[in-house]
Amino acid sequence: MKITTDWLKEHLNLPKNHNLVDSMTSIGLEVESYKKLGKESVIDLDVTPNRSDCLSVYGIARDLAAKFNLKVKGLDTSKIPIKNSFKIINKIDHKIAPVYSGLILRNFDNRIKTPAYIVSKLKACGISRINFIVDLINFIMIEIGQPMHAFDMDKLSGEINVRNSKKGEIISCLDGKSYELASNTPLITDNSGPVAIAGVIGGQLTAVDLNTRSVFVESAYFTPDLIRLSSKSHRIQTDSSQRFERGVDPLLPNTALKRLVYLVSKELNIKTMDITASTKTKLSKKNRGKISIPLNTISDRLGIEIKEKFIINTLKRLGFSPKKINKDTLQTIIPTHRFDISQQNDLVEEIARMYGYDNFPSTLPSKIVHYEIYKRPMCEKIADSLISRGYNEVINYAFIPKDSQIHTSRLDHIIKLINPISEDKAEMRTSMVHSLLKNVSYNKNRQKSSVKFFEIGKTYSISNKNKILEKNMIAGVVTGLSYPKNFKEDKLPATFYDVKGDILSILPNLQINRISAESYLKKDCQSVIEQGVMKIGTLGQIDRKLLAQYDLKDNIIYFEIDMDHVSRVESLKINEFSIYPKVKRDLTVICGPSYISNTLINKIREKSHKYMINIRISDIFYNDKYNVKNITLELIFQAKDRTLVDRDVTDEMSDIVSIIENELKLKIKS
Amino acid sequence: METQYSLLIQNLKKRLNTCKTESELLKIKSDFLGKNGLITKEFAGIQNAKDKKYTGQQLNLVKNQAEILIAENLQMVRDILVSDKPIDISLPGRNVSEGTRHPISLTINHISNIMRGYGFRVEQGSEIETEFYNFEALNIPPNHPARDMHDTFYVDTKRLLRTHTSSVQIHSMMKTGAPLKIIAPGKVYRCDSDPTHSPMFHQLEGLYIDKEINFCHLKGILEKFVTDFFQKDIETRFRPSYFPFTEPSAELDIKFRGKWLEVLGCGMVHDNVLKNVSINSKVYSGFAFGLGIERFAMLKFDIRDLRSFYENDLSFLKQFKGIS
Repeated sequence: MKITTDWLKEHLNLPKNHNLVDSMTSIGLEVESYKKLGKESVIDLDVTPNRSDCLSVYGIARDLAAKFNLKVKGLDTSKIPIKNSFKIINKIDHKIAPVYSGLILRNFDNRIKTPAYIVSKLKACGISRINFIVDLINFIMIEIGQPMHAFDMDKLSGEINVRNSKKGEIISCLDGKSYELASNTPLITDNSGPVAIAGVIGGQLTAVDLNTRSVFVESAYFTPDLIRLSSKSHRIQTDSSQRFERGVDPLLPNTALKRLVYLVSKELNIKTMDITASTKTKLSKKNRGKISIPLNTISDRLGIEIKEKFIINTLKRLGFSPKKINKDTLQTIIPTHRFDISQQNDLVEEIARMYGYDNFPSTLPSKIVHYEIYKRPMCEKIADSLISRGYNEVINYAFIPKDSQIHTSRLDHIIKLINPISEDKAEMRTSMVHSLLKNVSYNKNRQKSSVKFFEIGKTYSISNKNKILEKNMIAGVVTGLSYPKNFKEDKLPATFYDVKGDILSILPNLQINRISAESYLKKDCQSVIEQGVMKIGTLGQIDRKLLAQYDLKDNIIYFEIDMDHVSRVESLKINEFSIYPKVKRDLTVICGPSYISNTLINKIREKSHKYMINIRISDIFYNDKYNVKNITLELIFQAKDRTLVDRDVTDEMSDIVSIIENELKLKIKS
Repeated sequence: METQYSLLIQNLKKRLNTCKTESELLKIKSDFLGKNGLITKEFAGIQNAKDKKYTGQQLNLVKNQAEILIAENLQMVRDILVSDKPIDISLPGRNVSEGTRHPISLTINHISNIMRGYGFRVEQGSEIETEFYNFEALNIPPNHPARDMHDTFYVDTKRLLRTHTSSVQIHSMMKTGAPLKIIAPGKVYRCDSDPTHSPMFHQLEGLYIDKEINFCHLKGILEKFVTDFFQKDIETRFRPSYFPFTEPSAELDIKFRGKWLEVLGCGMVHDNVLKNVSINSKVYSGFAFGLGIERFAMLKFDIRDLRSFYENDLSFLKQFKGIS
């Protein structure tokens, strides 16, 4: 809210050269800006939602006065009597309005000019001029924090009631809109129906204008929660609703009326017979609660000894009435304007605030809570490996466009936001692939067509049983060149094999040998990533259908690893190794062009071999003429206890050849 | 005939001149001398020549010439990269391709490392939460004005995208009870988007519960943290603020380029919160803090535009080389 320094000074004797911005900050009034506007210095304050008592010039003055031990100047008010009976206020639902007061002001001319001192203050605070009586009401709201509402008497029919809405009631409001009222909306009504949404906004039909000659001005205390619900359900936020829903001092309505009469009488020659004021009150005791607090609680919580005298004086200045009920305990009534105070730690905060946060020493706790041995998260280790292989980490929004996951997810597993910020951020991702493809496309459009990206993040899905599953994933995408260009070297496009190599380097004991069947990946160019017997992820080339969704045509390799299934290698035992020479033999096997070579290797490894310690594929040759693939294996033999002789190897080789020829029915190239 | 052969050689030379790599050279070799190569094919045509012997001789000369040319070029390409030639140490190394971490991750890791040094353990939490963990247990009942500070994305009537990492506090306190010393970095969501707000951003929550923890400790640890993070003495101030789950509540400001800048919110854990997780507030007390990772990353790396974090432009990302 905006206030001016001059206005504040009318209520507070500030010492000369007082730095207002700093002192406001020090008591928790956040200064958003401090600007000169003509002659006025305007301070824009961000008042936290708990401090409704600071939504007025007077309230701010009161809080500053407590901190700096200053005096708040009293308000000039009229001395009109406010009686407890008064015809126009009829039935009041005190659950809605524990206090409902009002006055009638008859026979005045609303066309007279609003006094200049009010106009300029309202202008500086960003409130536009309406007409004489409304300007005065707005002025008092900013000044002391009590919102009031004026009805044109001649447009009201019969008496004023406060009640909840009935089904189907409608009201046209001052904002020019018509509202169909939610059930149980607190209303002000006359004999014809609703004339205002209580505490929120007035009705159009009873609005005050320049021709108004008589007004009924309402000044009330409405129950905060009810006003809040009403404001929320009708989506109307006004200066009035903002104050009522956070809490307006229930003792304020009558003060505000007296202030209004005072300000009016300064401008108009009105007779007392032209004014009648009345109130109907049923104040709940809740707003006059008591708190007891042991004095040592304050010091324990704050960490330093705070003198009893300081505590008592501070609370007094804040409007509390502290009494010692025994040697160590204080008790105090809560001031009616402090809706944020109900328990001990609220008082502790008040003491700390007034003592000044900067006056507390900074100390470190002397002990250490149980300290655990640190295990670096697996995803950090994997990130390191990927980085050293040239990957850049990206971070994407968890939400992606509406209907974008048709190729990658079961539709009933997608979590859709009820209130998305826009259509392109409407669904939670069930896979990382969309985010990464978007990154490829974004960079491609900026002339960066070779990228290697990875992301550590979550995917989100909902099960048929309405259970939400968040998975921790690492996913990556590679396209363009496998490595940056260098002179005299070949520019090689990145392929499945490059990314397979990257993944096999990030974790031990991984296998990428089994074909998978993801519909968003290219058929036959995709594989399951396994760790031991556990499936932990997928690797493959993005299918054309999905590419088209991102306007891409490139070869893009994608992988994802479900980190919740990756296990850590905790320990190992080393093997004895031989010191005798190794012998190598080559063997070329002829098979079909799409034969999975791992089948061959696994079959050979399955059998126990006395000397063979390793097999490696040393060459692959596609012979298009015969539509075959030649796989050349390099077999390595070694004995633990001696140097091998030719026969040892030849015998074992013939066993291997027989496995290939007889069990796998493959030919060996002679 | 002779002109035909000299044309072959000329074409070969032309292609050799534009060729830079070994594999390109091998391709040229197979194009000319391979099984179906241009020169090889000519040999098949000898049968029809008038003077078979002469043509054969000529063709052999051409073949030899081609072989020498290709061999020389191959030698040249390889020479540069083999060790018996003088090494030009200033030439680029091979396969240099160092990647980068995202500045958000770098900042989370930096902060976590500092906090781990103070004895805080890193915890993770879910991003999709119930109202209870995100609001009620944190002393934000339905209709509380503080819910205005959180524009919440809802997944269904009961579940939402967490609006702060403070929800992790509740899970941890319920799971382990006191004493407790944790930090929880992660993604949070608010229905808010403009140049200074992103609908998804990152926070790091801290919680320290033990006997005799007081407001001076909160100041002590957080001031030390700010100094450790920026690696210099930095002017700080604590000022009163409001969070429903702490009391007293504070904001920590730092003096940055001559201006006060809000960097984190903190406070003593509210009695109601401790009550909600069955921790006896007469025995235990503690403080909590929450900070925006993006803000710290922007200060650390001088990033001006919040949007750059989520555009993932390679020109932005690749600048973070070598940071750990």
